[in-house]
Amino acid sequence: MYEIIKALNFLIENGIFVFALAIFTSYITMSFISGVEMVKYMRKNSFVDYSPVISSPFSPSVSIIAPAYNEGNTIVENIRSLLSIHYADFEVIIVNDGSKDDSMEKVIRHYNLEKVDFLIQNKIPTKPIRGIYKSTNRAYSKLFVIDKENGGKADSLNAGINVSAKKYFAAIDVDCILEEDAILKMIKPFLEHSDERVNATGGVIRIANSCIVKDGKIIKVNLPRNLIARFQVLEYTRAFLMGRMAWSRLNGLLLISGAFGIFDREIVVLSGGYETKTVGEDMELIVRMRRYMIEHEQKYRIVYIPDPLCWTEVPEKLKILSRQRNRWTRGNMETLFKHITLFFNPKYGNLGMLGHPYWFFFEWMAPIVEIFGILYFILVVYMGDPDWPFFALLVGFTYLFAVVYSWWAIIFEEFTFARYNRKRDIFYLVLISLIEPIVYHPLNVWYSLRGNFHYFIGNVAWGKMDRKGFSNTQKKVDS
Amino acid sequence: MNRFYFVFPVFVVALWVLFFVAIGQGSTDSFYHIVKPEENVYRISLIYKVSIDSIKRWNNLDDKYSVTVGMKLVIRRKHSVFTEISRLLKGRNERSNQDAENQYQTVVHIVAPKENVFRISIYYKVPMDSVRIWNQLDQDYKVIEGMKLIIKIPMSKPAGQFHGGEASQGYDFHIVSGEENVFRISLRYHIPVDSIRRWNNLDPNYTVRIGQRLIVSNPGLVIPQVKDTTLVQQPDTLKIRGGTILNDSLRKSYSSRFLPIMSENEVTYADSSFNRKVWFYYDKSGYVFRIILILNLFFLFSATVMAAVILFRRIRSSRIRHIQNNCRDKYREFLAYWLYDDHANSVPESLGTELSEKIHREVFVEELLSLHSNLLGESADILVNLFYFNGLDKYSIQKVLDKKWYVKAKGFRELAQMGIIEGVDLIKPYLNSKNSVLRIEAQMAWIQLNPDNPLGFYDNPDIKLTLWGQLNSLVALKKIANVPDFRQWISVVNKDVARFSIRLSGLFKQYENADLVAQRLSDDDPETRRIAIITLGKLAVPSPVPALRNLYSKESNSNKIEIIIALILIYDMSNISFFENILLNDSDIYLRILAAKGLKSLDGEGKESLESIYSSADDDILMKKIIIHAKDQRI
Repeated sequence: MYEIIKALNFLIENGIFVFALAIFTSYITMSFISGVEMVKYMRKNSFVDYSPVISSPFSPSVSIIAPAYNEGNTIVENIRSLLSIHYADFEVIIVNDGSKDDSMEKVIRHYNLEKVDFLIQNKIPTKPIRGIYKSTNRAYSKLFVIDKENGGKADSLNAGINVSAKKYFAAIDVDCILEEDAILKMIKPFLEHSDERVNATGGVIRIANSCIVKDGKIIKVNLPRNLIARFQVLEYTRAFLMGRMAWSRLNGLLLISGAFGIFDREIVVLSGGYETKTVGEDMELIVRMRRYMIEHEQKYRIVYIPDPLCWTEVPEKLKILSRQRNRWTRGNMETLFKHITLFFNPKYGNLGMLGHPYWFFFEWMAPIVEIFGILYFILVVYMGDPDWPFFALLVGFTYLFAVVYSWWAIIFEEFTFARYNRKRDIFYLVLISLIEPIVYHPLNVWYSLRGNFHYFIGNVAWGKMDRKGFSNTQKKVDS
Repeated sequence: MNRFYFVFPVFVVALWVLFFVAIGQGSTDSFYHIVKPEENVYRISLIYKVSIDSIKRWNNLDDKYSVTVGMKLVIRRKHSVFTEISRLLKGRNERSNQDAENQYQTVVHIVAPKENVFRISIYYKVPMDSVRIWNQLDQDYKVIEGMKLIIKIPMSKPAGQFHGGEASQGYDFHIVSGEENVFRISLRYHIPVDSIRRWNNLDPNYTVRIGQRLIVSNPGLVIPQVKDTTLVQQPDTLKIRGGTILNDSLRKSYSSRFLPIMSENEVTYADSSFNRKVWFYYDKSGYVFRIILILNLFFLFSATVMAAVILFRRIRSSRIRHIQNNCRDKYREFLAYWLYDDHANSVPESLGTELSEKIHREVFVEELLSLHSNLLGESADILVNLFYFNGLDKYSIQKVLDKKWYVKAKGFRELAQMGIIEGVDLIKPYLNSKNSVLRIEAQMAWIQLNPDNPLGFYDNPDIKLTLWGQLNSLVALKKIANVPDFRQWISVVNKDVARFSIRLSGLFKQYENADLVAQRLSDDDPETRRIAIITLGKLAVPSPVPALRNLYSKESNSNKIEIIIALILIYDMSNISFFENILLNDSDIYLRILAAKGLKSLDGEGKESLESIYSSADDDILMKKIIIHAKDQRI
């Protein structure tokens, strides 16, 4: 009996300690790689002249696919903003995913739409399509509107892909605010690699809460006034500036945010389009595309662009945040378990040996290990006296690490894009990173634990329930 | 000064203070001291640097401060922050060494005939009082023959002490202090005065000096070896908690295992089975503890540095931005004045000195270049002259010679725009650089500086040209007057160059190259074939039509699409049967739609053919839909 307890005890403590060490090491490594990459990117970027792409007859064609569900209040403005994007050869495909409000009527009225006799090739099966609309006004000749029955975000994107005839497509959330040259900057990586095929590029998601927006453009960038949104600014900065850049360098990026990414349409179609049965379709698609390329022995790359190109509102209420995080957790788990064959599979190179295990351990398991550690600690406190000085030291270590990591990310932001011009904003960010590990982080852990719970217990019901609300909160970050 | 600059350092300082307070708090730990022979409260108080009164208070001692060997005394320590840190850095083994001294081995002694407690206490070198307490004897120390006595032997002394043969190594010394005589010493060590005299060869008057070392253990005494006695473990106290039965020692080792502490408790209980090391951090020297402490200090330090960097950056960048904005406004005004005012014919003297400063020069060059890129002809020449007049071309050359690639690339750009011909040779080595930005900038500069043979470097078979590079080269090509004939590169082996020249032939409508491009239709690389097909469509020369049609059946789907589109663009009536065939027989819907569009594009016969197919396809709803789709002008 004692032996068993002793062994368990040994296993748990060593396990948690090694796990924590591994996480810290991976964070440090990634921030280092990101730093190097970021400097390189910024220097390179100072020479880029995007005007040739706009006017060049050689620039590739792009479809912008934006699914919309119950967006009646903003859809007309959002479409206008999409149509005003700077690019040579593009079309905008709005997919109305069976909205229950008057969004379809509004769009038809405002843009003088009429039904066209479009024959859709169901390369990827979707829910039935009620009709495809084009404007009678020549000025809107780039606009397609698809009216279809409700089937979720993934299904809408698939419908858009079926209609699109361009070489690349951009999947964006209709409520996102894109910078004018977003498509230009995102298309560049596709042109830069001649020996490997670039399958997709992903960009940064920035937080638009409290920013001043006019005519679909961000005019002034402000730090959100809401505390929860501020925490997320910090979280997004860390995730996008520190993590993604390193993964892109290692060609191990597993996730391009559903809010904004450009994909090679041919590869997406070949690998089967978006998976409609998951709530994390953005991540699932990337993993499947990678698998497809590796299984067909083609050289490929998935690239990440650190420029702030896409701005979106994040939840300011805990209830909505909770649902968002819950869904992310379930999305992660669905993808990870669906592609569990990748787990430490040397056949898949970086994807199998680095990407998948990283997500498995440090994205999915981290909150579980964390809560387990806390419970174990409570048990120890109950059973006897823990070494309080050592405890204080470890807690201090973790806390300081979190703060330093956040500040490092803030420095990245300061030295690269420096979008927060007011001194006060940076000060607030610095301040918030001091309380973030105590206030915001536990919430996040709790939400992802609930996500785990719902994955194992109430998977089906929940998936159905909140898939309808996708439009508001489908931007994913790894923190 | 801004509030920001003040509050921010305060936070960093606060963090440091917090850290020290935490360390200070963490050091007020309490632990046990187990009283050894020869120890009294005063000595203990000296060891831990605490007052005897506090020891008395913590342990509820009586007024005589009486303690017995083996008694557990609670000790609390609170150190200053700095001594604590140095103690932690030196290692926590200090305390664990004390633990080792506190360790006891329990033996059972069976009372022999004529033995009394006094003799036994001498035998094991433990105080009589302690023997009494361990065995709960009465006040007159009465023992009987065959009685089992529990004796706790301190482990601090080398085991050899208990072995007669090695006893010589194990003398115990007493250093005589003032007002002590041999009698008092004998009482202290429970040794007869005679023995002390004998062991130390004292005179019959027992004279001793202050400071003299006296042997106070019997060198000749033969003591039974420890292994002869029966080792007994302390009885485990069972405690029931939360449904789990754990004995006392397990409980304690359990708790100490979670966060490693070298606790006295654990070592006191000689339960070795729970002393297994957790390999990486449960070690007596506490090196992991030290590492983490150092890391904490490091993090704190780097946080301070980062805070300073953020602050410094804010101050510096706002200053630089201020200067730059000032300069920009000034130079913009100056340049406009220079360009459009006829009376401006002399450069102000102050400009020369200003431009020798880097920050001003950079802004000036930037403004000049951006203005120049929007101008043509005479006004552009005025700016170039101004550039030369101020000797800025030397700085451009300097940039090109710089070791940093991004400075070099900027230099290339300036050379190209200002037409600094002397720099051409400097560019040459970078035309095929591994650095893509440098390569593209060098190629662009080369194209603009060599208007006679702008693409001469394409003869290098290893030259690299990404699509991005092609786009940029195209921009440069559009700037020069004579576009070269791309014929010479269409057939080269280098794929990138060949593809680019094919595309350029199409773009610049070099119709005479169509035949050469058509030869490329038989290329092995599908991408090259695709580009050739597209270019032939753009050139819209009828000669390659049969070749395109022949290629169709061998191609992949995406190239088939391009072939149909190219054939539509070429507009050749001979394609009708080809399109009809696809529309009627192909399985891919998109190809059929395109074929229908092709028929539609061929006025007269083609349109008629499409109509007849539509009217004959009564039951074939798909066919009807395809044709309707193809005929819809809006799509």
